[in-house]
Amino acid sequence: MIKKKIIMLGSFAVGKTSLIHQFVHSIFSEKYQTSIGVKIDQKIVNVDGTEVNLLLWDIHGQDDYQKIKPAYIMGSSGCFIVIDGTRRASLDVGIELIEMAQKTAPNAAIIILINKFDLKDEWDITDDDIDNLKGQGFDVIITSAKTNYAIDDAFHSIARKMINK
Amino acid sequence: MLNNLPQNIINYLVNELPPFTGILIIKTSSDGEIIDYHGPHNDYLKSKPEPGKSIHEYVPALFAMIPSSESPIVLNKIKSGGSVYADIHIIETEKDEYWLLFVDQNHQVEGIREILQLLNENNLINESSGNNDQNGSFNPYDVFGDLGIIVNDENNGIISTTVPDWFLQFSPGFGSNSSINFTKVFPYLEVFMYEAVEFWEIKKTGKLKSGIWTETISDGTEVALTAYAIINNGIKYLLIRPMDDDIDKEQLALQMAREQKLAYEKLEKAEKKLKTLLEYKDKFVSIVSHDLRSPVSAVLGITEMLIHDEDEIAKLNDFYKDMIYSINEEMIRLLDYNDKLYHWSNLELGNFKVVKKKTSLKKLIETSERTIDNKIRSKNISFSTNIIVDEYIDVDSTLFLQVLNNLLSNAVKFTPENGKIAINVFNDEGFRIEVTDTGLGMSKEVCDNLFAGFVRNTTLGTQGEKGTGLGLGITSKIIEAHGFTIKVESTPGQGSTFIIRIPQKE
Repeated sequence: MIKKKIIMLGSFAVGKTSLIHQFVHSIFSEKYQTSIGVKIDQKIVNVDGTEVNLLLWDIHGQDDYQKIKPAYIMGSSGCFIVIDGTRRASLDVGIELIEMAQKTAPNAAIIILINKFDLKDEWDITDDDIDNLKGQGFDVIITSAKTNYAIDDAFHSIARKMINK
Repeated sequence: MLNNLPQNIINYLVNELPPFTGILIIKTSSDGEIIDYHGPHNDYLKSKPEPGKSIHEYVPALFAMIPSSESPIVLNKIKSGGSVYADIHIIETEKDEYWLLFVDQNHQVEGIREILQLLNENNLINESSGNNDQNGSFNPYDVFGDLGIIVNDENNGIISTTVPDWFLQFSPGFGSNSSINFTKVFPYLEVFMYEAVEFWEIKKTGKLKSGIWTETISDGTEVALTAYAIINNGIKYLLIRPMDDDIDKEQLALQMAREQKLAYEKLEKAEKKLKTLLEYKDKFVSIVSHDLRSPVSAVLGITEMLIHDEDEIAKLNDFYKDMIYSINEEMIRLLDYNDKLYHWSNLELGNFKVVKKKTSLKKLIETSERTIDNKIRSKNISFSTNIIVDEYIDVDSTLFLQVLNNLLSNAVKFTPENGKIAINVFNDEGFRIEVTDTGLGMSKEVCDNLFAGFVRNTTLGTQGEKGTGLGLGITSKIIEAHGFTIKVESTPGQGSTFIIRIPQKE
């Protein structure tokens, strides 16, 4: 079976852990619990008849208190950049991390997830921002860890991208 | 060696250790290299400790304990090849040396046996059998729940310690001396190996700490772990240690800091949204008041034309004349209100510029007085000012004149007939301009909200004059834009004093 490492990168409290919990365990918690360090989960997905074991690296959020080490990114085949639609600052952090990911794992498939679609009314990220990211050649998927919106789609998309690379 | 015992070791021997014979003292470097020893090594060790060799060869239980994270540390009931169990006290001195005190536990047990026997024979038996159960497999790593691995290559090694419970729950089937592909069991270590391999290549001794990662054990509990890459005498070790207490503290601190940051971001966002809404409101008011000005002025112009056309006005009966005069008065008031709204909204939007230049304060006051001279006369109010020597102030004369006009017309409005109004100027670390009246005065509650703008339920003047509720708000904005301050002191029934402070130029 093919085994692929996927890393979740983003600012703090954007929903990285919640996305993995929803995808792997079908659980969502309203309570924000900050992540320390790294947590690795696994899930096998079937992509167009091929079974892929996804090793999901949930890495602590990037901010002034915790910086992401490039070593975490090494060896990854896929990278989710998670942005909180309600917090513009998380877009800036996301863009920083895209650069880090491209530099450290140039062959990794990158997908940008704009999370918290359930709070669309409070979004700071505009359609122009999303078009801008798409214009730079990135795949952008809008998700909600809370309502399980487009999460399977996101993980299958990245699995497909990794296989086809 | 005994002649050279440091004072803290002597203190420790005298005060902390039980008075038993048979203490073995070994001095090592911070890497665990034996420097010297004293005492009955045969009881504790399988062979004579040789200076220059690593203490770990004699006492494997001391693996990764030197250098130790704190001092003193006591490892209890260690059997390391000799005939007796020992408590090993590890003490670091200021010179980065380590003193290991091996204290005979067999003697200690013997020492208390008589006393215990007297107290409770059964307990003694239990106690003895408990001790007898010890088979030498006690491992200091049990204290921390460490998993120790002797590393063969960057992925594989041999478990060199007792397998801790958390690891058995996480990955059953392993025991002491088992081979382990540690990067397979702990994928996180793939990342750490980048640093660890480099560390092992460069360093001869010491340890390197990894970041933190979490694993879920069989009962669903998450265990936070950290790894240490250690090298000693060319042997590479990995030590994997659960860090429950430390992680809780770190997580709590980080959680609090991030929750605070999130709350601040939310507040910032709400403030921004509120500002945008206020700006929309001001823009709306500005546009509406601007567009209303022309039709209102047109109606006012027509009424004034009628009033001043003596022939036409003479044709009207008294009822219609009164109607025309009322329309005229209300249109003047409406235009004034509209102008103030326009002015207010533009002040709020920042659509004005303060152009300061040296201006005669005396002239400004005289101009303002002339503007309301008719009203002053009609109420027979006495007006005074204390300016004898002219003072020059740096102001935008148009805007500042509006301030004086607002304050004076307010004073006139609320001062009854035969009252007094004064404008006094004082040199007081700059200038203090006081506009005082002997009018109706105000309660503290009214004073507190006076400069907020859009004052609802405005008080009528002494002759029923109506206010817009905007005048003092505009005044305050202009004063603020100049970098001055304004406040009011008032006593109901006695009058009010508005005080403008113009700070001294630095």
